[in-house]
Amino acid sequence: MRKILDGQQIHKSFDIEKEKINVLQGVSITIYESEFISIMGPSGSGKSTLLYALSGMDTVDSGEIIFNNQRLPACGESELAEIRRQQMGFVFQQPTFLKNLTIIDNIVLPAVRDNKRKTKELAKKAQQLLENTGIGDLAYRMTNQVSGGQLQRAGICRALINEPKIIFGDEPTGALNSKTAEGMMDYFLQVNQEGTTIMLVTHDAKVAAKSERVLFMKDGQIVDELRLGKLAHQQGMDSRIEKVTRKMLRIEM
Amino acid sequence: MYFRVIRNDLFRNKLISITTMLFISAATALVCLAAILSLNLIGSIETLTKQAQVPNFLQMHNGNIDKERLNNFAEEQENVKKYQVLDFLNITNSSIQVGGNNLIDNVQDNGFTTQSSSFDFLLDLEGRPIHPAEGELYVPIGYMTDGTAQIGDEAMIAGKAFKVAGFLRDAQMNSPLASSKRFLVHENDYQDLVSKGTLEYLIEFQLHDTSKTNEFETAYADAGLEANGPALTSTLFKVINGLSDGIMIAIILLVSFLIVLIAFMCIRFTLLIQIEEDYREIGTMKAIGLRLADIKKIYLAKYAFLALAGSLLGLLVSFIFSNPLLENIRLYMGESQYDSWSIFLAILGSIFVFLLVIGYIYFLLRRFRKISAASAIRTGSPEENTARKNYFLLSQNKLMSTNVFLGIKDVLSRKKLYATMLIVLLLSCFIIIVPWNTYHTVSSPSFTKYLGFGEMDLMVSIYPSEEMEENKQQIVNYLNDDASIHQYVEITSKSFRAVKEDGTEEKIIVELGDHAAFPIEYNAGKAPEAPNEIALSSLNAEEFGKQAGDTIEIITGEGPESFVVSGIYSNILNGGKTAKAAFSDETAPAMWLNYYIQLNHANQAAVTAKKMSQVLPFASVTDAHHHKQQVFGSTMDSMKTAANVALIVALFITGLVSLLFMKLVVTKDRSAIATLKAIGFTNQDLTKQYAARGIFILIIGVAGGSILANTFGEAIAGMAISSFGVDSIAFISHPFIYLGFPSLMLIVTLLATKLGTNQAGKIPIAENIKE
Repeated sequence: MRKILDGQQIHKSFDIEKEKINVLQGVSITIYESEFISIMGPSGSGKSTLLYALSGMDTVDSGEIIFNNQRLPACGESELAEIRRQQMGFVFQQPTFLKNLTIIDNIVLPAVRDNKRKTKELAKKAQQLLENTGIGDLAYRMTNQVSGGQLQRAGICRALINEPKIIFGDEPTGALNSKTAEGMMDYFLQVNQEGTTIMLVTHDAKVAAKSERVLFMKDGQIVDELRLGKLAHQQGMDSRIEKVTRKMLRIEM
Repeated sequence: MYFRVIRNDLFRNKLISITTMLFISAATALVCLAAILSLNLIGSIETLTKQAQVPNFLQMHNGNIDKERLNNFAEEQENVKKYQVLDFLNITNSSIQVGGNNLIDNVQDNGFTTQSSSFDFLLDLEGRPIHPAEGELYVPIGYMTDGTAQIGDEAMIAGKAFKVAGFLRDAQMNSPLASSKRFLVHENDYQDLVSKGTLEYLIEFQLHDTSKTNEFETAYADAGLEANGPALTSTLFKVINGLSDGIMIAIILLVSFLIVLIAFMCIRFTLLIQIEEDYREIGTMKAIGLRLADIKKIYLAKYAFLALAGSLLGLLVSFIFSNPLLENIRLYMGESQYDSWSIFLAILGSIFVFLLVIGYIYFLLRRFRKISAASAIRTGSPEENTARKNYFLLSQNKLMSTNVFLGIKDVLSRKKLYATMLIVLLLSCFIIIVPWNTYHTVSSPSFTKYLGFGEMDLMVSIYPSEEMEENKQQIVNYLNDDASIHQYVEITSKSFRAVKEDGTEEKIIVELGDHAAFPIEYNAGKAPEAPNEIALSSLNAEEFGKQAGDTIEIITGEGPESFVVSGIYSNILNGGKTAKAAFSDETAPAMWLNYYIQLNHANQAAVTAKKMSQVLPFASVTDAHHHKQQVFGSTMDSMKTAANVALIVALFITGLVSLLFMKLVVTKDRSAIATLKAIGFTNQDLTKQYAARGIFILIIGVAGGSILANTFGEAIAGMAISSFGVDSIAFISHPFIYLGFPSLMLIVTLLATKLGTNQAGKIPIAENIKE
């Protein structure tokens, strides 16, 4: 299997009220093509920081990150932006949309910057993505005219518009009820089955249980790993959840 | 508690707090200055009028005078309090040498006189009538300020030596806009000079009932007394004295009005941003039952502090600046009797600005009522009204780059927010265009057309004399022979009587000749062409109650004849009462004769004028450009300075407000910026988006400002220019005013935008995306 993202010895600290807090303390992680990976850990363990570092949204103090054969720490601001735009997709806990654009405009936004001439095709593609997630009729609504769950689905559509190599999710189901969250996860699985790598940060054992591999973080380090294998037809979900929960409890103790 | 809230808040938004306060100070300072200056101006004019004992009615006369007949008239008139005839000895400017300066290039009619014994006194700088000793010369104050003369200078007047002993204030002729200037000498010296010049008379009356000056003027005209020259009244003297300072005060008032508006914009914007930031807190305060009035108080307290500090500072500044600005008024007209009242009025002015600001904040805080506690706590930000029709879609945009589209879309969907910057840019554009257009209009060669003169290079004038016919022929021969002359026209001014509505007759001076050769601007109608047509100056039109198209009866050599009023024009000479016609009447005597001359090359005017004065010594040759420069020069210079200051101030305001605005917008847009960056937009993209917003607003602002300048601004400028005697005016513009200055604004806006938004790239994604 080919490595898509490889981080070695990543260190990251924040200065909070003149005190230096080491959030990532030499984290090393390797993610392979088409993998579905989850990161779990208690609050403040550094999960989100790791996600922002790996996606080039935040700088690191030291360490190496190689994404699709490119060394991210060596890239300039505009190169990083281009990588995010063309090869990565993001889904955040809170829907992050431009309030003055319609849903469909928000979805085509990362794509039209480089392909203004293909606006028509991009709009068609966005409409198709919305249909796939079951909210095709909301394309021309403003973001304050739809529910949180619907917005989150639109968020996945935006992440997919440029057919990225990897999708990062920072607690993508954190603000949703369990039923809506379940639907979201199914859609993530479907996208993953089509070949897109997925890396999620989550608190939720049910979410993590759907992934292939779960990494556990504590105090800025990866302390454990659980290999669950690809999920086939929701079989054995209970036991997968139990395994994740047990590992998590052990780490938190 | 309020103190702590205010202090914390001021420190948090240092830059914007200081700017708001400075705008309030500037507005207060200007309002107070206008108050101080106008009251002092009025006071000084009154003092001068009182000390000099200005005549209520003055008839200038050139020619023989029958003093006995005048005496009889004055005695018959019950309204006459005092009466006198003063001499005004006109001496050619080339014979006047003061210090190292010869007045040959001076366009004023310089004359010599002795001190009056009863009224119309010439005053020293202490406001007392001057009684010169023999050999002493007192010089008009204007020659002190322009550096022509100094105390102690040796002077040589028509071969007689004098010493400059001091300067004089002349309530009638102080202003550069008055065309004559009086020098004061001792009675004996005057007798020595009499033979060296031509004598004019000032026939002066003081009246018991000044409200009946107009009736008296008519009675004088009807009595058929000496009237070869303009007639003037004390009201006109006051207007002329107050004019240039009056224009300055008007400009200050206009600018202060605009600055108040800009201060309001700053307050509105910062307050809205602050309310937005504190939205959840306001909701919480409402939810826990705080009264609306209590919540308002916290916000009011901060701005009340800024307004108080600003207006106090402004008041102080106005006191500091009022002295140098009052210097000119004091020098020309003396101390004002309202000095302490003006301070009081200035304090009232600052209180007015303070209350205005507070009132405006009350007005803005009305929106608190609309905040719903529940939704404020839940959403933490006001519902932006974006749910309207979906127009202008990115998914359908093929024309613009994505960044430009996003910039414009943002402006369109948050109009209320951007209104602040738009209004400031619009006002800045207005502040730039109006003074420049005004200056350009007044300094343009064709401006004289609005003053009742064609666009000429030279004017040659002669007055009636025994050799008149011979002189005329000499002039015409010269004009026909000189190859440098492009064209000329002969205009004869003759006096007639015209019949008023009520049947009474009044004197009217008509300029006869071909008025098509040097066309002028008419407020209404057109130039007289047919022999039965006449054009009236606006003052005459008013006097006779005529409009274009009406008929007027004039008594010519043929008896009463009916003329059609072909047009009405503005004129400032001869008391503004003139008329133009094309008929000929050999019987009426000419009062004076003018030749309007256009040269092949306008820049030859000075040289040609000199040559002509030598060849035609009996005629007075005026270089029109030089004349305009001397009469309007100082006014034009101050206008140019004002226009330059306005340009700099407007560009500064544009830059400062754009900078502050963009900084605040970036703070407000943190989350949207983080989103854009997360999905792959570069810092350069963000800069382009903000630049697009800035340029888009600027384009609308400049367009709006230009329209406003050409309508409202033209009307205001027209009012200012009307003080020159021009009734209606259209801006004579220059392409640079509409292209060059907006380009400067564009550069300033872009620089400010770049500077104001360079923090956008540094906004960390991780921290801001979670909001």
